Amino acid sequence: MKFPRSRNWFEAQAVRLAALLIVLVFAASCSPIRGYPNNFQDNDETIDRLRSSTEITRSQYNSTTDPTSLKDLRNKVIFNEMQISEIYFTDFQARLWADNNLFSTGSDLIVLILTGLGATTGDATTKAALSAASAGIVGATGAISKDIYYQRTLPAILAQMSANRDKVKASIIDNLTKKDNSQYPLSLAEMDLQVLQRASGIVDAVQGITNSATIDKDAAAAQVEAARQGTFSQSITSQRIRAWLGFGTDPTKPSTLNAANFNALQKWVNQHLAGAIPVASLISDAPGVENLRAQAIHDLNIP
Amino acid sequence: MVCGVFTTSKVPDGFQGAVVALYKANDPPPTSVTSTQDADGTWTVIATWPPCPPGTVHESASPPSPGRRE
Repeated sequence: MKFPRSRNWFEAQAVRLAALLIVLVFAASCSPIRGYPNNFQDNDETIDRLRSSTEITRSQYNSTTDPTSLKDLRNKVIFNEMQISEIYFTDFQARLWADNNLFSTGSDLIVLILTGLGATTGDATTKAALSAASAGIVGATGAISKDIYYQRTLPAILAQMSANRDKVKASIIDNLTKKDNSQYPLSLAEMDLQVLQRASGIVDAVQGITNSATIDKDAAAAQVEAARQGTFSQSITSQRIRAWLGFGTDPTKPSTLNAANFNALQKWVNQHLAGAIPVASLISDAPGVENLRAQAIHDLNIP
Repeated sequence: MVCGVFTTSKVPDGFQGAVVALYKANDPPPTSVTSTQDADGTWTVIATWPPCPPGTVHESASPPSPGRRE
């Protein structure tokens, strides 16, 4: 005997369908946005193998006194540990990248689905529930959108992490290659591995980026200070700019400022030097100004 | 934004007007431009903008010397 299906049954089916779609959308959206290809090796198996090899090598290191063997064994331990560190770092980068992208791409589709179901399915309670779920996701994406700074800076942070690691790795490899065990014992090399570990983090990356920005800012400030006092330049580049601006090389001839060219040069100064020095300073011989002139001549096609 | 004092010295006699014109054409324009002829016949042109805000770049210590007000 068949019973007519109740309204609640249809509503329950609608909610199940919505849940299934969410799973499908996330499942579909996770794979292409991972940002890294599948690994050619099984990380867990590789790490286990490297750890095992490291422990054996370490015990050999501890039981030998031969300088050549000590160096070889030390290097093997450190290279194994560096390889493990590299696997963890690659995984860390991949997860950072995936976390950054997961919601922003998948959630847009879920919002559309839930909004659509909310508009067409069930009674007021079901509609309200689906719309609330949709609103929740909109809210979540809104919160993520507020974190847009993180999204925009992530590539720079990842690049800085890699740069920080490369610097420490180069130093470790240099020491392993050139120094024997008495100069660079295993304990010291492992301390450097800790430095490598720190260099892989977000904190050091942000610090590195901030330091670079500070150095750039200081350099720009120094450039402005240097431009404050200069003598009239007679260089070829200065003559070219003066002529382009309407002031020839012959002071006895009357001259008029070419407003269009001046405005172009003013715009260039604003773009490249944040307008921090007057255009007139470009025809002085203050330190660094010759390079600025050459750049302006190139950028503005000044004859 | 330009701030503080900028000086161009050793300006040949015939180019003094050009340097002054360039300073005056700047956006923003200086609050004053003065020219002083030196003993060797060249000119020192000094353009002054409002003082730099604290914490930015340092203003030149030397105040503009009295000279011809452009």
